[in-house]
Formats: sequence, C-alpha cells, structure tokens
Amino acid sequence: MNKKGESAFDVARKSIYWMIAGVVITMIALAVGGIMAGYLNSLTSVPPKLQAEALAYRFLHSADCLAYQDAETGRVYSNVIDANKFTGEQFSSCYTTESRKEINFGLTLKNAAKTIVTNNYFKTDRFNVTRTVLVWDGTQFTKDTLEMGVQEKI
Amino acid sequence: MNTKGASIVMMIFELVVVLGISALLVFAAKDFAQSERVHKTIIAQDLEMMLSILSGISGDAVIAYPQNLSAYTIAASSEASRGQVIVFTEGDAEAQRIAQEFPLPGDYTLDGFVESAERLCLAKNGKSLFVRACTAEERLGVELP
Repeated sequence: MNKKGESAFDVARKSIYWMIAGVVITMIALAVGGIMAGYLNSLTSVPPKLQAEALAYRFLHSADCLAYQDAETGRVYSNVIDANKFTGEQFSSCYTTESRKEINFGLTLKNAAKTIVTNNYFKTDRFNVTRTVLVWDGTQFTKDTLEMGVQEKI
Repeated sequence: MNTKGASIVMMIFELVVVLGISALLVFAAKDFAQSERVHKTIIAQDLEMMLSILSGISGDAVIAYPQNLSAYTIAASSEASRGQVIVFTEGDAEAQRIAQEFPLPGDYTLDGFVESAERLCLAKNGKSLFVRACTAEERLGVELP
C-alpha cells in the first residue's frame, strides 16, 4: 500500500475506534457516577425502623398525640393511650404527611379492635412495630397491644 | 481530503478527549473525597430525628448535638405543621444546601438560625422548638469527641 493509502486507512480506523471508544467511555462514566451515587446513598441512609421509631415516638409519649394526661396533676403517662384521643382527627393533628413518599402509619389497638391511620396510608406496610400499652377509657386502665404498620415510599 | 491534516485533527481530538476525561475524573474524585455533602446530609438527618423525638416528649427539654458544628450553618423553620432543617457551609450555592423536611405535631413551631456554633442545642419550650447555640452553662461537663 502507498503512503497516501496508509494514512487514509489510519484516519478511518481511528474514526471507528473513537466511535466505539465514545460509547464505552460514556458507559464507564455513567457506571462510575452510579457507583458513586450508590455509595453516597449507602453512607447517608438511615435504617427505616430507626426513622419510624423517631417519628412514632410522639404517639405514645406526647399528650398532644395519643398519650393519656391526668387532668388534675397534668402528668403525662408514657405508653398509656387515652381512648378518647384514639381518633383519626386527633391522629391527623399529631402527624400529617404531604405525600405517600413519606413514612405513614396505621395504628391498631388489637383488643379494642380500633384502627386509625395517617392521611397517606394505603395499607402497604413495609414492617410492623408492636408495643404493649395501657389504654385509659375514662374509668380504668386495660392492657392492650398496639400494632403500628409502617408504610414507606410507595 | 487532506489525510495528513485529518490525522493531526484526529490527534488533537484524542488529546482533548483524554485530557477532558482525566479532568472529569479528578474533579469527581476530589469532590467525592471531600464528602462535605455526606457530612451535611448526616447532620440534617440527625437533627430531623432529634427534633422529631423532642416534639414527642412531654414537658420542656434541651438536648445538645454531640459534634462540633462550627463549620456549618443551621437554619430551622416551620410552616403549617412541617418542620425544615437546612445545613450548609459558607459560600454554598442553593443546590449544595441540604434540607430535611419532617411532620411536626399540629400547632408546634420550629425556629432558629445558628452560624458557626461549636455546640448546637435543640430546645423545646411548650409547643415551640428552637435550634440555637448552647449557652456556656449548657456546654459545661460535655466534652466533644
């Protein structure tokens, strides 16, 4: 082959090479970006149960949510549910989400067979958290089991 | 077609591509190594969970964040039962700021702006939550890691 022919072949060969290399480099760059993003997410991810526990803490410990408060002494009883507060309206004033992408809860008192849910709860629980509680019905305390269905990002 | 010229153009193109990719990887690795975004995200998540728990306790309380936050600015606010915590450093663009939103009980409010405070305190007073720098008294007896 003459020199001119060799040079033309060289240019054509490199063009094909860079076309393939361009695709491969793009794929590698995307893969590296994906790996980095995944690693960053793994560094900052919070265990869903921990997050749910932090949000649900108020349910059983705050008189502004479901916890029973003695009207005379003002004392709030943690892990004691006031049956009069176990309503959808009270629950909404305590915990409201903007979308189904946030953590939503469905609370069920097993023995009393009562359920209240947050505004974006659709019964697609990722996991459940169970607590043994006392329920104050205005006259007496009764033992019950509170099952909290936790729905995450649907 | 002038094949010699095309060959030179091809060589320059190769050089530019190699330099571009190298620069991109160096910048990405540098940004990754600094991990500033990770720190800000972790702080914002911590504060969100601490404030969620603080809003759930009965009575008033003050809790201190157990890390030195002098490199960061913390802004906290609330609107219509939604609390928001924003963590950023000086010179951060809007996109570099880390914001964390969470539901607050009904009529609770959240407020505070803390710049370069070594110790950050979260306080609950009635139905008001505050993010503020710890006072000298609150700093006593608590050693930062």
